[in-house]
Amino acid sequence: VPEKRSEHQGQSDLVSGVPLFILMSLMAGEKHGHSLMKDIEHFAGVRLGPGTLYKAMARLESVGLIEALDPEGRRRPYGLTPVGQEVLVQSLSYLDHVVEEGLQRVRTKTLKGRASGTPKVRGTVTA
Amino acid sequence: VRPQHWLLRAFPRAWRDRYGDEVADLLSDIESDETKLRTSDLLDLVRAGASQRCVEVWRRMTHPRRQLAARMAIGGVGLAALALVALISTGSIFGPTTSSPTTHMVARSQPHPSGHEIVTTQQQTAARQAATQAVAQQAVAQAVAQAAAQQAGNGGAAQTAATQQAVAAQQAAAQAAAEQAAESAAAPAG
Repeated sequence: VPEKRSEHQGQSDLVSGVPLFILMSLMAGEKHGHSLMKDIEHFAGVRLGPGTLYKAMARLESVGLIEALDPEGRRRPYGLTPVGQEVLVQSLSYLDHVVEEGLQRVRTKTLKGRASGTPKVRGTVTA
Repeated sequence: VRPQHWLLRAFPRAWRDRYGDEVADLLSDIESDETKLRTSDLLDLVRAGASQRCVEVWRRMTHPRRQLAARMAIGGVGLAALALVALISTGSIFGPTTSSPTTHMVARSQPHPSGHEIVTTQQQTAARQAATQAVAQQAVAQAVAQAAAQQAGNGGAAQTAATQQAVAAQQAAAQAAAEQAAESAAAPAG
């Protein structure tokens, strides 16, 4: 674990939560506010409120991870910047390592429980 | 200005100038897509606006000393709130005036008497004192009667008659006191 974690040290600008969802949604293409909200609700099952969404978007725009594009009618779409794409990849990579480590620990715990005859974790975990 | 758009005033002015129209369009899209806005969406607007205002205020405190002072102020207010909660929960303030648990239990088990109960207790005490006085007068009268009987046995007829009159007068006084005590005792019941 320490070796894997050291790969991401110094990346204090990694994103998670609502900003991560916004970057993931914009990775698939440019979107305006309402499209972003519906897409995030579709792939993450989370319905963001309008205030929460635009507060996060304003923050991402201020740090240069997303950018406002030319308006299409009365709507203004947003897109990922190159820096935003890089941060998204690093954030997902970091989360992938964390998730893999967590699953590995759960598997180990399950196997130990089965060997001793007193399983501590119920159910089957599949990666 | 529609009410939901009025809620945008929760955000700082600079933020509204930049994103206000887009959020208003988003609200219109949500309203047309879902027939009407959810209450949670409106509350989310207020919450996010207040949060953004806090962020703006914090950004203005660029000087480290100002940020340190703000942290200390926030910490002080938090500690004061915790201390207040602790004092209230332990009953040190806003609690009963007696500090002894035993006194507190007695006070709770014996409720304060009302004004009528206090007057009744005073009448009962007075009746008890009158009854005791009547019993004492009767005892004196009996002792005087016994002394008179002894003098009559010795042959003093004139003195015996006077003594018998005195005994009769004392017995009448004792009887009157006893009747008064009985009336006083009966008065609270009525």
